[in-house]
Amino acid sequence: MKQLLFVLLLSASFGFCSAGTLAQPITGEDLFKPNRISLPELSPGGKYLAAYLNEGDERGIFIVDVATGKYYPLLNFDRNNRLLGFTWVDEDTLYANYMVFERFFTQEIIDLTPSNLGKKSLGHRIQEPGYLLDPLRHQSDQILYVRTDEDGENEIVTASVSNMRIGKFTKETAFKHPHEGALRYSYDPDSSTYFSYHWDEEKETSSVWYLEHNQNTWKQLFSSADRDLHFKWLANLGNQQFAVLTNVASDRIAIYHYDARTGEFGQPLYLHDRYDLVDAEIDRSTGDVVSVSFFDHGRYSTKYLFSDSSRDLHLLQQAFPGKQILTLSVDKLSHQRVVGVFADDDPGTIYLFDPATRRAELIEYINPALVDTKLARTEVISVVAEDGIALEGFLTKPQSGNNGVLLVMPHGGPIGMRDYNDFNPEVQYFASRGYSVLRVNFRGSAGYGRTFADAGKTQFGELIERDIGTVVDAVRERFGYRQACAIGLSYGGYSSVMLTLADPDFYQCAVAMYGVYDLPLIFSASKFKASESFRKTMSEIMGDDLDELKARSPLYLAHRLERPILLIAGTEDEIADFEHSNRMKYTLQALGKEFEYHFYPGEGHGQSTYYGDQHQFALIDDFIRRKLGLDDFTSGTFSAIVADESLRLAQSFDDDGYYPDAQRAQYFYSKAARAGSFEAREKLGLDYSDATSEGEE
Amino acid sequence: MVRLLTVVLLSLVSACSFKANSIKQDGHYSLAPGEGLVLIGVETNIDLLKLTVVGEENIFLPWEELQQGDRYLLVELQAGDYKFSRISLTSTHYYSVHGAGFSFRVSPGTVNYVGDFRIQNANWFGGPASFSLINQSSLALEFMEENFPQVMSTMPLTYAGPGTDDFFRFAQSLGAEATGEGQ
Repeated sequence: MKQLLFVLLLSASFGFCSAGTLAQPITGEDLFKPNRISLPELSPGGKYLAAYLNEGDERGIFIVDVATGKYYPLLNFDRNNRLLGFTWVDEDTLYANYMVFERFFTQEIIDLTPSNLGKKSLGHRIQEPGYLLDPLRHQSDQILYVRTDEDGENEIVTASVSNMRIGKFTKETAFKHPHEGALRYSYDPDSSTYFSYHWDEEKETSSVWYLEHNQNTWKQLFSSADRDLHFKWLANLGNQQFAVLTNVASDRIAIYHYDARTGEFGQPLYLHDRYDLVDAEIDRSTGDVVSVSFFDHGRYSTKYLFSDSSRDLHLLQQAFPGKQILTLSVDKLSHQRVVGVFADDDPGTIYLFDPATRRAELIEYINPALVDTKLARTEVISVVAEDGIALEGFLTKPQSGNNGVLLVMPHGGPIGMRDYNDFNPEVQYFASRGYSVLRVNFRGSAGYGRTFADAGKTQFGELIERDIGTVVDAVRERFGYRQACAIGLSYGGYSSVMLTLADPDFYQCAVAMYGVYDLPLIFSASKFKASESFRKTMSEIMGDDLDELKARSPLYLAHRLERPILLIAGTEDEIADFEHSNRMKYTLQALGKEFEYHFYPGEGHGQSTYYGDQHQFALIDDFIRRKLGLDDFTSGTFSAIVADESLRLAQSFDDDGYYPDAQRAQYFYSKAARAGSFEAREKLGLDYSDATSEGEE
Repeated sequence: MVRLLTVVLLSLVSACSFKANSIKQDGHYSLAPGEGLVLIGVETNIDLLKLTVVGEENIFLPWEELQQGDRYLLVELQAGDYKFSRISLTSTHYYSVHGAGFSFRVSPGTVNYVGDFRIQNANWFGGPASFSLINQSSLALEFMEENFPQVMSTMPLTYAGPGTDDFFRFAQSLGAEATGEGQ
């Protein structure tokens, strides 16, 4: 990290260059790991760049002096600390907050004035309970802070930054009448407007209120009992006029002019013809839309509506052809910006871009282990369903060594979640091992408008799986896949079993992770889930006729299962409660069906560690290879990777491993030994000697 | 004076409930009329002194059954309505359990699985703990099949936890299907 800021000229070509010419399995260690760098943010004036670094034992916030490239570690984190976020308060003060032992919310003000930089400890804890509302960068020595008293009541105060730097908290009430019952506040520094967010339990209604500069009365901006409505303010244009991002007035989320006095929406300022907008920038002086962002064929894209604004983007796009370019931080004074350059086959690189010099300086690779690895590309599959609705899927094919197996990977949710066409370590893991991976944004998925999302409701095991089938059929027709395995997490776990039940000729196995298998159990999994409010929410999503839900539950259809299943779950899962998986295990066992399972003790709805991901996906790959009779790579070019991966699995199942299981340990030691692991051979030899001497006695 | 009053009041509460040790040995139990067996799962992050249940009769599960960890406890109770009432860490340090969702009904002549009572973040230094009652019927069933096969052969296992759940009946039908009785 100390050699940051390699200078690159934009006139050079930065097309993705891969040193690796032969595709090969990528190890779990290289794929399932934290981003080396994240949350880059330029200080006001652009003197420093702050970012979070995470690699091995080196974890924490650091800053780089942009002019000199000098690196300063600020806050070092151990495994008991989890960063929540940080932001610049002024050009030499940083605010950071983090959790300690997942229990204690901790905040610090870090003094980066030159005289202080050399000191060991730069930060001062903020002891006053509450949180930073806004750094008020345009005001000297002041921040806005939400202070929480002993009774949990909030008040908004201004506090002195210079005092906080020396560990003192001096406050002044920002305004006299905080909004009673506010769950949280936000602040728009450009218009000096406060916003407060409320939830009325009785009426089940959420509302947004605002208070303008020098006013005493909070006014309601918007209120709705419809949980699926999207409403986000973008700018206060004055005279009670706002620019908002909403789907109240149209099926898709778009930008509207909103009159807060009458509650009426004007004509859309920007409405995409297919996708929901996810963000936008407004010119507050004119009210014009500067840019809009949306997921275009699954890729995050920003469209600039004025040529001046898009000049820099064009420049970057020329330098990084075919890449997604995201602005991560901008300094309005120096116009420097930090950009992330990503792609479906590129985990990303962070650059510092100076439009004045047209130079981009490399800050850091997000995953340096993959810089020289050739990753698989993803192709968008566009299909029209029988009823005329356009569907999108994402097919990732291996660079080489195609094993002819299609992994159909439905996403979780299912309502309001979606898949993206961006870098995905799980997809790359399988693609590097010869599989093709297909993900589908079926009816219910987010990003394609409300009608599209609503159409997936109550369609578990029905329209949702038919949509997946429609895209699968198109892919089969085009590429001729003859065998498949369905694999998914959460709803994807449910869907994987349902797909396999429906078409056992094509789907020759299923991998169901952290799934739901008994739909009526969703209403009785716990005291909370048996409550009226939870039942109401879930009934809207999946229906409430218990007989019908049973008829669409893998548990009650298990007697029809013809293909092997791998069940993976976490024993502490409270989202897709663990009971679903154990129930399915019990039932498959009782019915004598072919299945395997691995339940991770202490894990919830997915893995909480990168080691867990590495373990889980190695198990899955092994399962699919055995069930589909694929090459297990224990001999040949890739045997060293298999030897290492199998040895790790074997050790995890050993007597003193995380998941003692003698049979599995033996199996993976044998596999590792076949792949050439000396350690595994030695282990098996010891076991053999032990058994012999025991027999002789 | 306040301390003395507290001790007296606590003694009265204790006097009103009796210690209910769980059944350890499998066997053919003949329950008195109006009695049922109750299967309670207890998951706790800390050693407890008592778990008090009030209702038709007031009982407490004692400390030797409530060490940190997970277990199932099978106890004999009068049929009727009950609720989890109090979690005691010591004789003076306890959490009260509130909310209708922590109640259950015991039916006579059956093994009533009332759910797994989960205690998280309980500690000696104050601060909130969280309680939940979760349905882990299949784990309870596996426990009973492994540890109380004779009880299972003489008494039906019924669900008395949150919401309604047919899993035990379904599991029974699986056994019939496996032996061909369901055909």
